[in-house]
Amino acid sequence: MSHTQGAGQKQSTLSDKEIAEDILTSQKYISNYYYAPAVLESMDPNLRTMFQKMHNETQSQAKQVFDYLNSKGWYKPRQADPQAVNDLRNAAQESKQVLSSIAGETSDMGGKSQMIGNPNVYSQGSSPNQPGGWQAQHTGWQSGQGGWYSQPMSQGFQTGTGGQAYMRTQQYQTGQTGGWQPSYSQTPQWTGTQRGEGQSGMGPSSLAQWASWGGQPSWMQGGTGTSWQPGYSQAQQWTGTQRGEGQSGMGPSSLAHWASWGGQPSWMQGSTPGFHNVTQTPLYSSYNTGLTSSGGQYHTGTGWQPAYSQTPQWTGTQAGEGQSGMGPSSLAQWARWGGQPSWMQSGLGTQTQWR
Amino acid sequence: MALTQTEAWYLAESIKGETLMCQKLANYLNQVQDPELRRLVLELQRSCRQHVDMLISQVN
Repeated sequence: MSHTQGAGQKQSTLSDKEIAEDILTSQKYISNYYYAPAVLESMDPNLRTMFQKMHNETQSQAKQVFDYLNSKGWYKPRQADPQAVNDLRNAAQESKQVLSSIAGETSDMGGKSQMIGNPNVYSQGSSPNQPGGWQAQHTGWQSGQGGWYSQPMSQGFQTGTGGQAYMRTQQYQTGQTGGWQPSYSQTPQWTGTQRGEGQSGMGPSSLAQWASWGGQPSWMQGGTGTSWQPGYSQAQQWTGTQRGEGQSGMGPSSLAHWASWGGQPSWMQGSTPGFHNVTQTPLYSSYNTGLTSSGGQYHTGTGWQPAYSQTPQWTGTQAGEGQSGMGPSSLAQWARWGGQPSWMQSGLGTQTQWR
Repeated sequence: MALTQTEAWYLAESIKGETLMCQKLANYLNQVQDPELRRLVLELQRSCRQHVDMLISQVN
């Protein structure tokens, strides 16, 4: 009924609530800071598939733990306040305007591209503002359940039944070898390890704390938590690391200090050899590993292969990662980490070249 | 196929993370009061061990 904390320290007992919370926190951490980036970083398709499987399983199990906490009244996410809802509507409206403007631009290109934002490409569902309302028509661009993402299915980026609002805004580029390359001059893909996550001196449970949020998660506050609330009635793959989650003053995590980092990675600066910033349909001639989309353009397979022979792809989880002597809690410390990752040093690794 | 540096790092960290998780779940199993939570912990423990086995199998 109790466990020893350490030599000379008194014993303490964890309640069922504390145990369940710790399990959930651990699952979030493992899923988002090990498996999610590992999927993106794995070159070996078998390894990638394995990480993806464990990622999905961990997410599913985390949902079970959440359900348990929720059923006990120990984790009750608060409804979004009116301001947050209003901000969301504004963001959706702005997004629609941007897409409309892109559609106008592409129509000026003689109809060569119908990739993004073209009303002829997408048909909206009955609720245009609802995630999941976009569906591709014969172009190979598909939207998963409840997802706002327009990735080709051949990328291996599809997240199955994920209900998260993945707004991926990259342009698509074609490399010399025909491989799809995301344009990181725009918003990088959200991988669960982005803005404000992992503040210095804060632990696994402090993930995804936006800079402006200084409070505690709702389940730590007895009903007065954050404004964000996962839609569990819809989302089936809730990863549990959304905005506002986590708690202050805990743990070793310091992932992705974007806010305090003033520079830009090289891929955001200037042009990159081998990359052509176009907005036309990417070349998929090199992808022909399995299923074919309805339009016959894109082929899905077991996994998208990163083109490591070219400029390394930034997946949002690379800066400073994998340092010798640096643990998972020290990932991506752009600002406070003064060294270089091993892959930037001669003779170590083969992944990247810092340009 | 030889592992890349990044793959090796994530494999090692995942093994350590899942192993720690297994240890915690084993301890929690002796502490939980609620039978429902006990069942859940047992299930998680089983899955956790599978994950460790899968990860270790990738290490030659």
